[in-house]
Amino acid sequence: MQFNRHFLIRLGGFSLMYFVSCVAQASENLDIYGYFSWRVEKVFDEPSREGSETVREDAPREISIPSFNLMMQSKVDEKTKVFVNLDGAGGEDLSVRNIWGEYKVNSLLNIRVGKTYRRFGLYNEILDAVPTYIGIEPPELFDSDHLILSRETMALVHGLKALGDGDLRYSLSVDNGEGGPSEDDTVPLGYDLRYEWGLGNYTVGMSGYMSNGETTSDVSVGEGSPKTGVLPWMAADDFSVLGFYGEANISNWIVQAAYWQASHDATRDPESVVAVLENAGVNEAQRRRFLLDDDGDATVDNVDTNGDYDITTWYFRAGYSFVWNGADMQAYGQLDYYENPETIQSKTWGGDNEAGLADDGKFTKSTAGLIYRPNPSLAVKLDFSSHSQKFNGENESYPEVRFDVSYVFGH
Amino acid sequence: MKIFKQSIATLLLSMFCLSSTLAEVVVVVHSSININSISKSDLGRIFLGKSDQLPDGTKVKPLNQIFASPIRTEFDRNLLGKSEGQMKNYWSRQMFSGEGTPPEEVNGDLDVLAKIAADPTVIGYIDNSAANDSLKVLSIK
Repeated sequence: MQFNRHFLIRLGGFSLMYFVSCVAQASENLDIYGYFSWRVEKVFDEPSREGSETVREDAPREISIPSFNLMMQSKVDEKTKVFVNLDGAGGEDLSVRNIWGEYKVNSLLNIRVGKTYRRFGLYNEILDAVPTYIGIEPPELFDSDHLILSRETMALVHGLKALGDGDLRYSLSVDNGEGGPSEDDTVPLGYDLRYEWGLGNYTVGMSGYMSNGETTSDVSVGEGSPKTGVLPWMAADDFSVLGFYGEANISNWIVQAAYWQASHDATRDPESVVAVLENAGVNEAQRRRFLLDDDGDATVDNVDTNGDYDITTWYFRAGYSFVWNGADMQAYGQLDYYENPETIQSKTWGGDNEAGLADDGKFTKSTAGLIYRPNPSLAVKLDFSSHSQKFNGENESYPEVRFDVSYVFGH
Repeated sequence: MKIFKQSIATLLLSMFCLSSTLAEVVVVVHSSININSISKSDLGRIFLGKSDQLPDGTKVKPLNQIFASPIRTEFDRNLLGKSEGQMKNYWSRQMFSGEGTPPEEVNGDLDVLAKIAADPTVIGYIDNSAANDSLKVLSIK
């Protein structure tokens, strides 16, 4: 499917003007709400190499500056609504996470334009509901340093059809693609199909994404981890993602499971790969992947430009809610698996500190946590994770502790 | 024997008190609304923000009683099949993803009656004992 990029840019421009006029009209029906959040996290005994030896060192404790999300939602009329989500992460910068307007033709067809999270699995749209939901940690496919695809899209249609005891819901999304302009000037397609029944207590679904041609990363090597699914040392990458998921709410339990696979038909950029090899401190397996002759030097001529690879990830999550001394409590456990043989450890050079640390790009993360809510607005969370992977030829694991406090306002 | 009788009396008194605090929830609309019954599924779609229409196509606006009130808890559990926590999670997801906001809330049956009297498109729920001829009680299919 081919789309004209300039058409979409113009569509985005018109959409923005439309939002502004809608927001102006909508002040009477405006809901404003959001939350503040604050986090302390600490990683212990993280393995690293000193020559051929494995040494362990605690990572520096990270205390975040309280951040906030401010959201505004307004129903302009019976058929039109607008949504704005401002993110004050780090207490320093303000970014617009979402700004979109939606027109409801009927329940089968809703048209949304603007900067919106794509409908993709159980989590992508609700990761900014951090303080209020179990599964507070994003699944690995949406962990910020190794996204399996971009979280945002520009135009989306979705709808709902009552079917039996439940609702069949779909969504289709298009945007400008992952990174910079590609030769084919293609536009990707995202899709989601889910069935919810028991008034939303049960959900099964599938989500997918196709780059629809070769695309590039949104960052260059040395500029940090990409916000898309394309690694920065790729000259071109034609890729697709497909996954399945399910959720059940039974009494006080919530259970979720999901499986995803991304298939990349990619071509490495030799100069970028040489820069990575010279600066990023890759391990032996990564070096072997990147070079034609792994005993040879890291030169442009020795780079293996065939960068085809697959990412596999899945998770299983369960939470149990109960009341203790008048406060809501939720205990939860999560098991995440992620496998990406192409990535490296250095985030600065576009890698992923978890999969990139492992010899083979595979790791599991098991998490147990507890949320305490003395009132509906305040949530205090403590959780522990154990990362396990093969490192320096041995099975190694290291723990991580996170403590979060968040406060919801406006509703 | 005396202790046994006291225990029975206490048990009966407790059961009486318990039954007097359990609300018998009825779904109510303005008397001008044409339908007489609604399914749990259709009712759920309206109160979860998935639909704004009764089965005959009439547009309606759901009206909730305040969160954690006994009648709200009873309504959520028995008619929507969701616990307080599940409702909280559901509306959090809807709000934080821009999908919708929860229905307006009022405090008590009298407020529901007043809202329906003022706006014929409101659908709410009250304790059966508060129902009167100015509105229609919908049976649940």
